[in-house]
Amino acid sequence: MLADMEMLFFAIFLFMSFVLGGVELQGMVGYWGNVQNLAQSVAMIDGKSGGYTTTAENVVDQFCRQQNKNRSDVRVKLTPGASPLEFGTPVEVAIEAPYTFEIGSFITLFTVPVTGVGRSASSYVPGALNVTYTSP
Amino acid sequence: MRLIDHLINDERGSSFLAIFFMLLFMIGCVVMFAMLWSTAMGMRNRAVESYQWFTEASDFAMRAANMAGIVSDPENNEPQVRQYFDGSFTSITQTAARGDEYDPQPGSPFKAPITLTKFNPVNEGDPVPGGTASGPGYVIRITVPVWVGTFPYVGQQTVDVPMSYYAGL
Repeated sequence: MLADMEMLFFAIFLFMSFVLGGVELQGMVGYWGNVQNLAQSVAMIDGKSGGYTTTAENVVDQFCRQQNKNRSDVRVKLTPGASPLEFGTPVEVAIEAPYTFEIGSFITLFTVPVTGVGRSASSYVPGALNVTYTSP
Repeated sequence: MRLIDHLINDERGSSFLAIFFMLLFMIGCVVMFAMLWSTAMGMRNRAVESYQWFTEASDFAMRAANMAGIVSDPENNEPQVRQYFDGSFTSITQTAARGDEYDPQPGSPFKAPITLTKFNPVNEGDPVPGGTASGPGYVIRITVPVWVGTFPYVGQQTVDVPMSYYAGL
């Protein structure tokens, strides 16, 4: 009888863990969508401007503010890193941002890095745009 | 064996077995669901990023066509714009163009060729995905393999996602 009750409680616990885990993972997938959109936006700006500009940095800053992240925790990797890029050069922007699994506001479980990759090609023509390059 | 016999014949034992197998079944279901869900999310994410790269390559082709001054007559300039699209799409996705197929090269995130199924010139007012064309351009349609798996006796299977985009000015 006791074993039956134990197994019943375990079954309920298993089901609740499954639901909770699913909700947490769904949250992470949604966050990945945000990071991917950010990476693509930065790649598009880099493609048009021929490199990493202050406009792109402002977009990353805005993301950090909206997601309540420290800018130092969000890593931006550009390939190639040089600027300005020649017309037609492929641009790849990989953005790695931390995602924290938490229950409610008080229980923090653990943090995992989430990476989004944006791609574009440089359509920059020297002199066509007034841009200020910076480093991420 | 004696323990199993005892469990089956005893009333409490059979109840224990019923709940035990129900638990095993639940764990199996949870594991199966988790695997299917992870695979589905992986496919969805690959489709999302592929679409973003595809639209970016298409827009680049139109920007290059605009700079070359060949946007206004899409029918006659299709080969040139297709060349721009091939160039940007292959460099962005790290593939090599072979006719209407784009074969993945080392470093490419794709595991099977991407297929170009449509590259049609359109003019202002023509029907395009999501409405009507706002100006001259092209409707481009590709099929992207978002998942590739190999099964015994069946061979390689892919999950392909078709995606369309209107690239215009």
